[in-house]
Amino acid sequence: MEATEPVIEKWLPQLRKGLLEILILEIVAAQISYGYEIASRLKLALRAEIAEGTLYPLLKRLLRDELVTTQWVTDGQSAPRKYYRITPLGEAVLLRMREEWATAHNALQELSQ
Amino acid sequence: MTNSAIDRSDPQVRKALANLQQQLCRALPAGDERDDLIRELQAHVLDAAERGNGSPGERVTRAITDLGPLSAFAPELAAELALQQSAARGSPLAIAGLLATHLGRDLLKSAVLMICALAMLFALLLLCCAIAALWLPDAGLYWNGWSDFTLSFEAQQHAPKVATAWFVPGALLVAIGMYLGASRIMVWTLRRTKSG
Repeated sequence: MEATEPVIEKWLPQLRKGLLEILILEIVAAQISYGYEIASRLKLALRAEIAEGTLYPLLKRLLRDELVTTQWVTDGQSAPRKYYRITPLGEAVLLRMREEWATAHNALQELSQ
Repeated sequence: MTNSAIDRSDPQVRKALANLQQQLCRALPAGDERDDLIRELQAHVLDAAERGNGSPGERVTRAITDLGPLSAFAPELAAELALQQSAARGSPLAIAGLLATHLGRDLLKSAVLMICALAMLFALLLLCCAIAALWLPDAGLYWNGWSDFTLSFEAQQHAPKVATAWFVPGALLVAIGMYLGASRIMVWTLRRTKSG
């Protein structure tokens, strides 16, 4: 089994990189969220440790592509947080991503039978 | 696990956050976007530290560690920030900076690949010349010094010919060594390009 690890270690980051964008959009589509909250939900969903800093380039890209908007919110007790909210374009892209993901999932199931 | 707000005035907390700010300032292009991002990452660290154990300083340090090594995300962030700034400014200088950020690594890899390809080509020529020197009496290396030497299949008047007994084994060794070295560097660079 150990022989598989080097290959999986190289493959997994590539898979996750593509997956993270759709997962982040899913999270902010469900409710407006801030960086730490997004990171925590991703870790829980992926059941894996991820370097939290690596989310920020993705968040910036989603912002540049106008799939999300941001807003600083100060609630009296904690430090100000930057919240991410999905845009109508982001929702449309998410729908397409889900379709593409379903196609890929079906292809995998069909070919692995 | 505790879940309490972090006192930002704690000296250890201030020191750790200032250290993070300093590292990010060094890694990212200056501007409002960078300041905003630093503020956001500091808020992330404080949020994470609120859910940790230990002293405030330890919790903040652990939260910074959980961000991962700066090298894992700062280059991509720098490119994103440069892109935002260039889009905002649109000046030739900003565009040049953006190209440098995006293409810098690729250009370096292309240069390495080109040098390797040239070295391999030279090695093959050297090999051909060494083999030819075994049969053609005039083929070989004509040497006047490092700035004046010629690999040739024909006789040259401007420089004395290096003895075939020295040239052939030397050229074979250099050609094989150069070819293997350059091909390995090339494969390594291509692999890094692929995985990057």
